[in-house]
Amino acid sequence: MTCLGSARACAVVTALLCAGLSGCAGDGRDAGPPAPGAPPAESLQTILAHADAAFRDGDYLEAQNAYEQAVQIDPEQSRATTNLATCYLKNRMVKRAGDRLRTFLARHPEDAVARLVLARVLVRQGELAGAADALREVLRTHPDVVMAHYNLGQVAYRSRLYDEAEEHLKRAVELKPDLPDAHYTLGLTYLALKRYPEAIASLEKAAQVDPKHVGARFNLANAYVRSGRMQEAAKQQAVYAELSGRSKSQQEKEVQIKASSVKAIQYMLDKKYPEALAEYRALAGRFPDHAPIYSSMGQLLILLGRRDEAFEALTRATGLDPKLSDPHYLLAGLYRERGDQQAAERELTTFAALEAIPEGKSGY
Amino acid sequence: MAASSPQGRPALYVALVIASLGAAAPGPGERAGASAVARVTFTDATLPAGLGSVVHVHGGTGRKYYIETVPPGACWLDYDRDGWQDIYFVQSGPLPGTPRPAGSPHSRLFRNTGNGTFVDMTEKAGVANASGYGNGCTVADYDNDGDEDLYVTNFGPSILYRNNGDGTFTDVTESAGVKNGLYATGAAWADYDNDGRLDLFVANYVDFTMDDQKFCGSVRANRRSYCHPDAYGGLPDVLYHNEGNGRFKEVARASGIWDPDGKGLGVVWLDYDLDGDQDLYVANDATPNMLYRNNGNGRFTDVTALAGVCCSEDGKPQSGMGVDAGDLDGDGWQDLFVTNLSNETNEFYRNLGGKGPFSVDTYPAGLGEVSLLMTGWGTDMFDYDNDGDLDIVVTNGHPMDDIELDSDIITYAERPFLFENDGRGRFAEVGRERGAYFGALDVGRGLATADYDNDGDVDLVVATSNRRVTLLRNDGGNAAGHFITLRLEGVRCNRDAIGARVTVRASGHSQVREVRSASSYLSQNDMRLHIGLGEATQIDSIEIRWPAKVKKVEKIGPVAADQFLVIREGSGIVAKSGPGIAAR
Repeated sequence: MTCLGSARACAVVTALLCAGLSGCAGDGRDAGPPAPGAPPAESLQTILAHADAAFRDGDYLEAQNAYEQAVQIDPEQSRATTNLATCYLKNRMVKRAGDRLRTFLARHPEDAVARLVLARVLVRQGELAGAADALREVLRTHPDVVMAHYNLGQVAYRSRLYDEAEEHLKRAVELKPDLPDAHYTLGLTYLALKRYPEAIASLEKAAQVDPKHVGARFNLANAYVRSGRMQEAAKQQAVYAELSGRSKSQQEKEVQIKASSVKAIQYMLDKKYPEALAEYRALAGRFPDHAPIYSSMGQLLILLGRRDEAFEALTRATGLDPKLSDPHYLLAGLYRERGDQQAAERELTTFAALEAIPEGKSGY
Repeated sequence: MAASSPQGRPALYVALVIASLGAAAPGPGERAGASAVARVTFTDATLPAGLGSVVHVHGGTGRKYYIETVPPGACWLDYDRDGWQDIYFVQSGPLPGTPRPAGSPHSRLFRNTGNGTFVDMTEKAGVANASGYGNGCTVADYDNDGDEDLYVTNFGPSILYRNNGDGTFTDVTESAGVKNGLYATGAAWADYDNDGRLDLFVANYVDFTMDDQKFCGSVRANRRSYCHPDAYGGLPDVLYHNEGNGRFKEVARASGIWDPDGKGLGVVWLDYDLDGDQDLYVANDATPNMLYRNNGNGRFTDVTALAGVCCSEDGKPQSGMGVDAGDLDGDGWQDLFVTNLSNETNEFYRNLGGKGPFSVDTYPAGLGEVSLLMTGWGTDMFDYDNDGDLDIVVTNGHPMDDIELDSDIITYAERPFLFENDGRGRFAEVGRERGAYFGALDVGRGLATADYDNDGDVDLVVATSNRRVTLLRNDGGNAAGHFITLRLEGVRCNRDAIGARVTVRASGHSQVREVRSASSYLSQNDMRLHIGLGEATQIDSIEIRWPAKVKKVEKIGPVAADQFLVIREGSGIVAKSGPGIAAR
């Protein structure tokens, strides 16, 4: 992994990735002696291994159950606690995630990873002031964590604290110049401040880093209009219309495919993997450019032990939709098995970035 | 509560209301102080008003048909021209294809008796929409004969009821040619070509059919839930041009209103660029909202992209439900407010001057964070405390009745919002301080405002999904500030003067209003213009730009505050009354 700041920041980034991923080596606290009267360490390790595997397979309910057992055995487990909270978030139990993390942080106030996940919980609950406090606290002890700067910048922007937003977003793009959303939110901040030349520069940078960034194109057009640059605005509007049209039809297709995937999902639940795979292959025939199908196929092929085919399917998934997080995670495991640690780290980093504080999603 | 109590109200009733406010109602000289604003309360008047039996039925059987989540709306209208606002509640009833025996739930028209109560006149009026699965409604005098006609949108053929002027209506859908037949939701009248005749826009939603029930929900738990609109395709909307002979002609595509994939719900006509003709905004559910600029020649241009009002701040389409337009920041330009699904926030599009993009000012205006977890539907901009600016009310309630199985922070029933404007377009949510209803959970859908008791402040009605309606009487708004209420009557322009723009100047402060038919969500407000005046006891001038091909501006004033005026095109004030008395 390439660390972006100090060694301490590197440790936190590693921990953050672990919080999002599970299956990483634990921190020092996890290796500590069991509490008096606790079951043998082997049983805890077995449960954690099972939890991590379930998490890897995308079975967040199973992972949640296992992590709950783990923290029952050892409530001081940082990794299990943050992973459990992440499972709660995945399973839309936001309040429970918050409760778990707050209880843990009361005993371990220095745990930056837990606090980062708590910030994510608070954003999901619309509690921006609390999220900002959590992120400021992380930065107080770990001043160079790029995602903390980015998320605090975003939260500050939403809270109309534009000076603070500018400060942290500028720091985020210093630490990670290829983070399009940091440039984008910095552009929004300048737009709000009516500093149009700077807004245009930041939004152009976001669009340069990620040419498919819908928000950057949308707001770039807006900023050009406000600056009287109508021809450039028209050009951006055309790009935006093309991109958003595609992404919208993609969304609709996803829902239609989901509705057609019931049989495959039932096979999955019955552990009839070859039948499920056949269903997904048929769907891929009908929707050959739909990334999630290949992600599901990759997952099934791993379960069936057909790793080369899985690699192919997952690579195709990430090629079709680089923002789909799950295949990056699965690919990381496959790269690791192949001994390509650098590629594995790259995929994990991408996965972690995609798992950052999510945009609002439908309540459905 | 009016300083002078409405005619016909028993003294005991008045005393009880005063007691409920915790203080005697102040006299005219004591208005507009902070303490007066604090005493504004919305009182649940549903039962005393005789509306306790109005219960929406979506007809659900557990199979979670998509259409169950959408209705209903409600419309205020003065169908008998007595100066008191009557109300029409849209019913959905048994699902299409299931038997509708006598006594099945149907839509209902209630006549306002003028003493705070309503009487069911549906049977006599003949507006039950008994065979339709109702969604929404809109009201206007489309034939310029002096009475209000009614259009009801259905899943399937919609209905136009022409008012016969004698308390009865006739279904003229077929002869008028406005059946539509698709999945109609929001609809609104306006004279888009300023020919003096009202035209009708109808939004269509999705291509769902009862035979196309998709599985949505949890396969693992074998739990069927309502689908997201993405599960279905959109439908084109329709625009009916009024030909003037009782017939309409469908001209949507020919006029440039064309969005075949749109999933329309809320609609509002407005003049966003102040060029004197009616533009159109459509809130679409999970597809981009649309703004059509009226070119003034019978055609429209899609200016959504230029105006930047399609989507979230990030350019992503949202689940547009309801919409209203009004000048929220007092700069004279019509802004837009759109309600959306949970995790999206509602959106406030600030109009920066009619030519370039609107500014998405949801968070800066204080409207973002609070709405993040709520699903908004009906919404209206209205001045509940008569302080001279437009406040915002929103009904909330998730579409999925089992959402709590999927989320521990989002609920099915949700409390509504009342946002108070600071006069500059920044808002604070004050609902809980303004009445128990705003602290209670409900499954809101339609919402409409009216001064139904003619006491000088604006009341609310909330239409809920599969629940009883709620009538909220504004108590104290008229004591918090002065007001003027205007009913415009067109002569050369359309009789309702829909599209008229009114500027009221008082104490150096200008306010702008537009006369419109439906807005909000599947609903329509009192078409009279209610303008709060704060401490001003006199209006310096009322300027009216009538909707006509040749722009005509009429100026009236000065006039005293706290009146209900009827202003006729070319004739000035033709009727007036004080609070509690109907101006006809």
